[in-house]
Amino acid sequence: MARQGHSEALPLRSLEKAPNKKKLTVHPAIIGSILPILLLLIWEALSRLAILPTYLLPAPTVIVNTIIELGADGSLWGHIGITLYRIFIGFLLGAFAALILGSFVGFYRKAEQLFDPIIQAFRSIPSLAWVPLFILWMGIAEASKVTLIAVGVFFPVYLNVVSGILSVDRQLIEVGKMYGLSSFQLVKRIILPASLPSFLVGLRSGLGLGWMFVVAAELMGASQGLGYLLVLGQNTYSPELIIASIVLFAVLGKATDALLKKIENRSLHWQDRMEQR
Amino acid sequence: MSLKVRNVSKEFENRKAIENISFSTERGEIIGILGTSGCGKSTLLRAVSGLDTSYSGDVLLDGQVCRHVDERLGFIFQQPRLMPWLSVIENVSFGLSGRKDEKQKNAARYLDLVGLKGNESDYPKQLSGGMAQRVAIARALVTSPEYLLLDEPFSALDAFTKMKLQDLLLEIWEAYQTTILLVTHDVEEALYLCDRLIILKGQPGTIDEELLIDEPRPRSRGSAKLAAYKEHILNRLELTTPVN
Ligand SMILES: Nc1ncnc2c1ncn2[C@@H]1O[C@H](COP(=O)(O)OP(=O)(O)O)[C@@H](O)[C@H]1O
Ligand SMILES: [Mg+2]
Repeated sequence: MARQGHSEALPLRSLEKAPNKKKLTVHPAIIGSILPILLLLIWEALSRLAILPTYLLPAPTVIVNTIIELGADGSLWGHIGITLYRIFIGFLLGAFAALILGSFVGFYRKAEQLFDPIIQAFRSIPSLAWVPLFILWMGIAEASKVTLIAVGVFFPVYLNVVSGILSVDRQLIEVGKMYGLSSFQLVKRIILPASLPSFLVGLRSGLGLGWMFVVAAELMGASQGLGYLLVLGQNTYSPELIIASIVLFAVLGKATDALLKKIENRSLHWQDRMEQR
Repeated sequence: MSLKVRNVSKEFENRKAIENISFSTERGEIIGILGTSGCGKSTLLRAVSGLDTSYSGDVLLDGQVCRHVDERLGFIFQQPRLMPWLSVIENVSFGLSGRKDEKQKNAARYLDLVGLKGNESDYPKQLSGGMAQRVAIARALVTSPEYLLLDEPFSALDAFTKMKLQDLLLEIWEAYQTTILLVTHDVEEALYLCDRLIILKGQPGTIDEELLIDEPRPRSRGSAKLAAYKEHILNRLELTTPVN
């Protein structure tokens, strides 16, 4: 008897749940933006009511105005341009060096034995420790900045290239061998496409580090750039300039990451991933 | 036109995997290599294929010693091993060289043969296990190999898909008269498909018996004669529990 009661209860419960589920279909972006909007409103209100000291933390609208003014007098584009230029060149150099060296180390056991220990040793140096040396060597002009960014980008890309190549499925390589492919063809037709996902992951984390290092590079002495605005804001007691610059860094960082993500999705559409909806 | 294996032995780190295996095939024959897991079937097939070259003894292709991969040989693995970044048609034409449109035309013919017309532009992630293995079969056939080596090709599939693909293999064999070397641990599969069985046994694996399956095709999976063969094989492999 008890059993019967149980089996009757089951469909009832599922009936109750069905309409509930429908109500909850709110776009995730809306859910995600509730808290930020709330925080901004509170912040704005507290600033206007002078509860927050505005000389330390100006209101969001003030910050937005600062950005608009910078854009209106034209100086903003120069700052953004030079920062993007530095990160672009540094990223290209670092990623390219990492791809070449990483492929070499991945393909040849001997190269791994030769290069890997020294690369690992260099990796254990916090990259910012290079700053004084780079300035001594190359001055505070573009070269030292770009080099620093390249160093930052290099390691994540390198590590991912090597591990991507080493983890290529041996079974697929055997298929290639069965068709008599040469080493070069094996690399081109199997190893490269198979390690592409890992390479792209490396590029994205490299880019993240690149943004970190462009800030560091511009903090250490620049006359233009978003990092320079940070320093300028500090020296002129204008927190709105600092926060405006932080916001711009965030927006640009996110935008460039989204670009890479788009490239990743395009070139990895064949992957069977959890993420894909 | 023959494949001959002469005194092939193989050792892994001082442990012998197979010892002194010799047999030969005749043209258009389907030879089964049957044995329990771990008796060296894959090891033997890899030596024959040339994927592994560190064995002793010889593999002769059409009378000549051959110790490397050869285009006369096609290999179908237990797993489909498709390139996930290539579409179905690109996977099939993987082993072909030459002009792209010609490769595609050729590949399309074999896709049709394995019953996958219309799936050309799918990617491996969209395929079921059986479909993926069909693609792998088409990929092995497209280069027109004279010998087809198969390593437990259907063992990862469900029973119905397995039977379908076994029949597909027979159709292919009838159409192309390919010499087939089929490694399997499935006694019924071996009996349904093969003209001759080489039974491996022991560790290291040695040839225990060569068995001619004297039953005309098309065979019935439930035939009494095959059942008798099965009984005999299970006895040889000491897999039956004695009835007292
Ligand atoms: N790469 C390898 N290294 C060491 N031992 C191996 C290797 N491959 C196979 N063996 C050993 O050789 C024997 C035969 O293996 P295998 O040919 O795969 O058997 P089967 O295919 O019949 O199941 C097993 O004992 C296995 O442990
Ligand atoms: Mg095996």
